[in-house]
Amino acid sequence: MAFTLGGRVRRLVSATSIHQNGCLHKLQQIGSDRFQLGEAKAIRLLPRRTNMVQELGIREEFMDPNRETETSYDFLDEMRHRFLKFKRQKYLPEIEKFQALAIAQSPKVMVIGCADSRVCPSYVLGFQPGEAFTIRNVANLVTPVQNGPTETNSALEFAVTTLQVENIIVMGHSNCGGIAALMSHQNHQGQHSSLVERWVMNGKAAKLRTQLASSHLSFDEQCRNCEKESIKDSVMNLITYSWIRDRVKRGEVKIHGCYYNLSDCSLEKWRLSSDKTNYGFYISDREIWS
Amino acid sequence: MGNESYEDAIEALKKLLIEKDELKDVAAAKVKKITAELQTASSSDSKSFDPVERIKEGFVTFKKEKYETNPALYGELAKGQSPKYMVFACSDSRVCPSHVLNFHPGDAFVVRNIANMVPPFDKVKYAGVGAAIEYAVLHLKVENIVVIGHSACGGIKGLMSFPLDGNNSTDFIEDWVKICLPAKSKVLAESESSAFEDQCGRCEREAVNVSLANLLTYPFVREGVVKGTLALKGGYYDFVNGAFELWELQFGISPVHSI
Repeated sequence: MAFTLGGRVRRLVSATSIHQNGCLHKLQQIGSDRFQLGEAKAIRLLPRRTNMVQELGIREEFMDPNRETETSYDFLDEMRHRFLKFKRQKYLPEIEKFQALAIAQSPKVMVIGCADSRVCPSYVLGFQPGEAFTIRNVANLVTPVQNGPTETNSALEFAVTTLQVENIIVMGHSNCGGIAALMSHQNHQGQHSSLVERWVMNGKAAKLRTQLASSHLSFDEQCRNCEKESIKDSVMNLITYSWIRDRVKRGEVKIHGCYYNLSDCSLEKWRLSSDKTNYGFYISDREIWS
Repeated sequence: MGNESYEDAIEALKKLLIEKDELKDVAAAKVKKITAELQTASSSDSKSFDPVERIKEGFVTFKKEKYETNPALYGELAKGQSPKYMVFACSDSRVCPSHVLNFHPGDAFVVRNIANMVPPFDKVKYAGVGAAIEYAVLHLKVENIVVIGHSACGGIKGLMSFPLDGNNSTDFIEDWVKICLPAKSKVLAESESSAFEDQCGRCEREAVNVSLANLLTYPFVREGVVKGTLALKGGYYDFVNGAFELWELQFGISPVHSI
């Protein structure tokens, strides 16, 4: 059931007086005097100084009620269909397991994967509900601790220290848009870097190594290599977190890397082992499944 | 050896409960939790859980049952993706959108983080989320962004439990969950006397709303919503009751009145 959030959005915005972000402050100022609870669908949230006519184009086209309602109901129907399929095929047949899971989760694995729609780790690696705590971001990047907070490292901390997962898998894949953006980005740091470029520049070291080693290869082949190098960097960045490093050394957490090639459906995987003699780390147990 | 420590532990617990009757409820809840954890752990073969074997088995099954039975789809996907949806879901192991909403490869660009939060636009601090939204909206041209919360969310529970007064007990978790502090304030203001679990349930839904509002701070999202090419939806997966709620953020310009 789609209902308007008019009033609720307004209250929501006015409650954010502690928000630091300038943008949201502006929304807040406009919100409180602009709309009443009675105005059905109409909520104006744009800053006053924008030229409304230019931004909106033709009002009638925008306000076409048939078009909006149609999309809403299609979406609702589709989601209902999807959810009921899950409920019929998975949830109800295994209701006891789901009821136990509802009380507590204790996954043994954490996966860091790409947000790409083709490479859901649960789908490709077959994890069932309750098995894998999953982080997905653009190009499955893990930044080192010295770079400060990101959405990824708060999830890492939760999984390792609270859920106490025993295995961490960094899963990269071929044809990654994020890595392609990294490889094609010109190296000048401009004000005009897009958000994607700023984020994927975290994989700069992998790009440099790839270019040094394989500049004679085609762009596509270089991207394949960079994707693999980036997984290695992400794995090594995991070790920069003391609560991960200590557990790996004690043997409580194992780190694995894997690379899914979606053109030929093959999976290359390897393990990060810790060297007791010199406290270093090395790659071992490499296998390719295809 | 194992048995002795188990029996000792049970004896100690019994003794404690005889002495302190009021702890019975607390103990019951904890025992229930441990039972659930052991149950789910054993169902995934905890005796000798080998992650490599597990993913090998999973991958081989995927390849045989999905990849090889649908060469047309996977051939197209190898060339590129054009998902209609971008989904923000929690990293929780129980709420993968591929299961819950039956997404197949190519359907949805999925970002998963603690408590499915979307922080406000910030080029420096939250470049990761910004990059994902920018990629989805400007490059993949998704039609819908869906933020899906869920029941019994550890991140929201943390948000409701941590004092968040600047003295952080964690390196990163508190800084992250405070993104949805407005939701906590709202829930506490509206239902101060409710049980903690009820408050968490409300906060899980309110946090989705905070995230939806934060999405509008991204200029390209705002532009898409105004033009009508992008819709923002909220969802809530209640796995305790096996239910799913869906709503949307509606956005538009009212008829102009000459005054």
